[in-house]
Amino acid sequence: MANPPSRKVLGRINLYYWKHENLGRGLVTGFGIFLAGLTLLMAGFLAVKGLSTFLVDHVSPLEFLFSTKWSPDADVPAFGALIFIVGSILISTLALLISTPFSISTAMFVAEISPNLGRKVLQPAIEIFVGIPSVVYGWIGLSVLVPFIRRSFGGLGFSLLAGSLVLALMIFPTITSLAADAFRALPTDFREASYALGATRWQTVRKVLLPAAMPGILTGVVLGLARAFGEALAVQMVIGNMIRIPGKLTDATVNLTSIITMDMGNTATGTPWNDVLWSMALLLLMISFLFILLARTTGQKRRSLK
Amino acid sequence: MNLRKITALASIVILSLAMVLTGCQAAPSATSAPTATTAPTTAPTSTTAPTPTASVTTDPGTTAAPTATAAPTATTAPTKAPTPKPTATPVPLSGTLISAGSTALQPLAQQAATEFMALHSLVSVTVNGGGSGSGLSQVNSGAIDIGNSDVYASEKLPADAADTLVDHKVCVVGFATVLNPGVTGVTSLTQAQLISIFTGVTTNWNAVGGPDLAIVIINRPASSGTRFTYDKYALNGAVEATGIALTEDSSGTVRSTVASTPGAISYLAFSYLDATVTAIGFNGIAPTADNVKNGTYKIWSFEHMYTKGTPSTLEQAFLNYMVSTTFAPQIIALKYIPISQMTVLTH
Amino acid sequence: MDKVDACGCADPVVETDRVIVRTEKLNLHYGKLQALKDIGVELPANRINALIGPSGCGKSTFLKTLNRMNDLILDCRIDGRVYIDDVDIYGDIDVVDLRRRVGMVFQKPNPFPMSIYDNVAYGPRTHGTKSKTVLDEIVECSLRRTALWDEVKDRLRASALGISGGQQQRLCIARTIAVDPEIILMDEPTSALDPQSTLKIEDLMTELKKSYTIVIVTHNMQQAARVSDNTAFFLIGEVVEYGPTSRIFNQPTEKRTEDYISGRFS
Repeated sequence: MANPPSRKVLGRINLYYWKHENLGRGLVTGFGIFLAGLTLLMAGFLAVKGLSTFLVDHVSPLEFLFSTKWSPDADVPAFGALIFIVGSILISTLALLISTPFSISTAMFVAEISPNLGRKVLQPAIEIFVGIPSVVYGWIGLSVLVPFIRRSFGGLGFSLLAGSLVLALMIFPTITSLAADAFRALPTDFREASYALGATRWQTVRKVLLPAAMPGILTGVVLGLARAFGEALAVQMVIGNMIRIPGKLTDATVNLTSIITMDMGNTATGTPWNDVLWSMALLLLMISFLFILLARTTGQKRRSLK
Repeated sequence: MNLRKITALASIVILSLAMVLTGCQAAPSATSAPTATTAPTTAPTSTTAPTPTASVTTDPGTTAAPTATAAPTATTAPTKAPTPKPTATPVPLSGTLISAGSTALQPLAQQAATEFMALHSLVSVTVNGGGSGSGLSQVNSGAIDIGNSDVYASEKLPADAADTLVDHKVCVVGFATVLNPGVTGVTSLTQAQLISIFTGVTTNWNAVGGPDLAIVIINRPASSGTRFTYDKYALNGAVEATGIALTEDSSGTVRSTVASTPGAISYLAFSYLDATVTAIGFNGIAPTADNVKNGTYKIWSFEHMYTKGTPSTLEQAFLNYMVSTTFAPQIIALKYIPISQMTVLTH
Repeated sequence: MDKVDACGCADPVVETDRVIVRTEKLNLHYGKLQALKDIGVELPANRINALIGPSGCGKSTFLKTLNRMNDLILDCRIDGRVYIDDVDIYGDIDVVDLRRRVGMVFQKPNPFPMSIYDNVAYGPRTHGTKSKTVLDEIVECSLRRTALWDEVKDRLRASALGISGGQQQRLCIARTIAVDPEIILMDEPTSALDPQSTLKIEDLMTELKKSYTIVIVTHNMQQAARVSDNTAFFLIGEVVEYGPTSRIFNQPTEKRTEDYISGRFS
């Protein structure tokens, strides 16, 4: 409370400040609290729905997490979600492995090698990537990538590989812009010091700037991973949704988001089948929460280093 | 001053939370409060035909129906028709109807809603998708007035919940087995052959008279109404093997995937058939509307509209319109089959 | 210096008046703005050469022409000649090699966000030294010459950002001498440091001039008077006066120099 006029000063002045400080602050705080409340409410709702699988329907959490037996429509239903969990992890990790080298290289190029070209051409292009709706990615994947994989690598085309590639393309802009920001945030001192020692630009980027920007880049990678985990539509369109753990890259598979979107509308609220889908959604929320926590701690590490 | 601020803040928060909470249940069901109490009295005898005969009312559409307004071979409709034999009051229909659920039924319901609103200017009918399960859950919870479903409510809801809903069958939809056009020489498959294929026993088209080509099964999700119907009538309830089939979320993607995947087999409602896929016969009978009507082609099901308890006047009027002769040409145009044209109503 | 001899990298002290840096009609433009006008100076080897003058007079710009750091600035145009050891550094030479020979220490201590060891080893590694024993030797030697060895020898692997500002600046000097330059440019190296650290750096400079030629930009008149052998006074892009420090400070020939030194400009 740094209100310049003391409380005993004329009411007029206080009212003036009240209008110009507290009213605005109250409004902004109100919206902020509203949103925070909304988020909490959603998390709570998801938790209640997701936990009823275990509390009401008495599905064992261990079965849910570690069983590959998924037959929700059988007479004696089984709700093992491991296949979907593994699918999500495989697709996202692979997407990350494909995307990260490209992202970091592009970020280096945009931020360090050719800032001019980067700002005028590449940066806008990358931003356009972000704006493309995921159904477009999915559709392109379905009509270009899937037949291409079928012809070049065999199999059905619908595959882990197709999903990862589409996803890699989708998370590329996230990682790239965060990595580029990380490079740009580095003090010029590092560059000057390195050049003054006779380092070439590449040596400077590679040996000084890359390690220095690493925490920021990791934040980007983690957020990219979070996005990869949560992406549904585009991936669902190209992975084939075959309920099994893939043996090779060209095998079709399935993931958490796909099974949720496919079955959510067709199952009735309150049935164990529907509840299990909520549990998967809760799991996704927890995973993304974990990622965000991770991103924040890496970010903090960067700050404390400075 | 501080106190005022805090109260202001608190009220904002409380207000917003209240908005959220009410928003959750704000099922704006204006007129739809189900008149009857919980309905089991009316609906226990399972297949209760919608009994459109009873309510030839203010609806100009139905009045002009000469041919087949009669409830088609209506099972035992006359016994219970406590629904208010409606009065020729000139009071115009008004109010709001919200229906949601089956995406297979959605285009047809949408068409009916548009025409119905043109006839009754004070009525607003909204049709949403969301899936059969979601439609049934929502009508059961009272969030919507009419729940559209591809399957019987008892297949999706717990028995006690299903019992509170009243079934109105609005049309029949046929399903065909479809193949990638590259699978030549197969024009029909028997039930035994289909079971063998979908359970993963037969894996090559040459075993059923086709080319030497691996069979690729393309499924709908296990919760899909289309898959349920197909499993029940084409596969005689056989359990499809998991882990060998691709799954596509919607009929549209099934069609494009079958069209582009060599050796693919799947199933589609008649309304989705086109030249990009080959529809084949079942047990030697071609998948045509006529064969469904005369009872020779077995893979079909009713499309259902469920109300919570006995329908209100407005709901009943809309349901009547769906099965009216006025609307029948639209049903046919969208490749569904009017119930009135079915000569056999059981499989 | 004895300790340094022990690690075998002390240069012999040569008392000559050999000119190592010579400029002829050096002009520099940032776009349309002329930052340096017809600079013609000669800087002797193994001396501390101070560049003084008010802010924006071009002394830092001049400093950066000596290792071509201005190359990094867009729109910077340079005419005239800069000779180092009689080689025109704006002629056909390798900039990377030039910068190895002409090291630079900046205003703000700017160690890399890596370990103390890696900071010092960065330069030699960059220029191709891979052998661990050689690197160890260079690191120890450089740290000893900057009187930092005893302070940090137990935490060579710790982050360089964890030591004090004065230590960081000495580390930066160690990093610079690790590539064995001939000239060390210092751009107000003590302006961000407390008096005690400043004193240490000044002592260090006196020590280092036995082996290197030092060119230092400073705002601090006392510092220039204390440590430098020669002083150049810059004003609006020109060198007003240049000569032995004692003469510049006591008997300046130019009125403008006298005004500045007696405090009328700054």
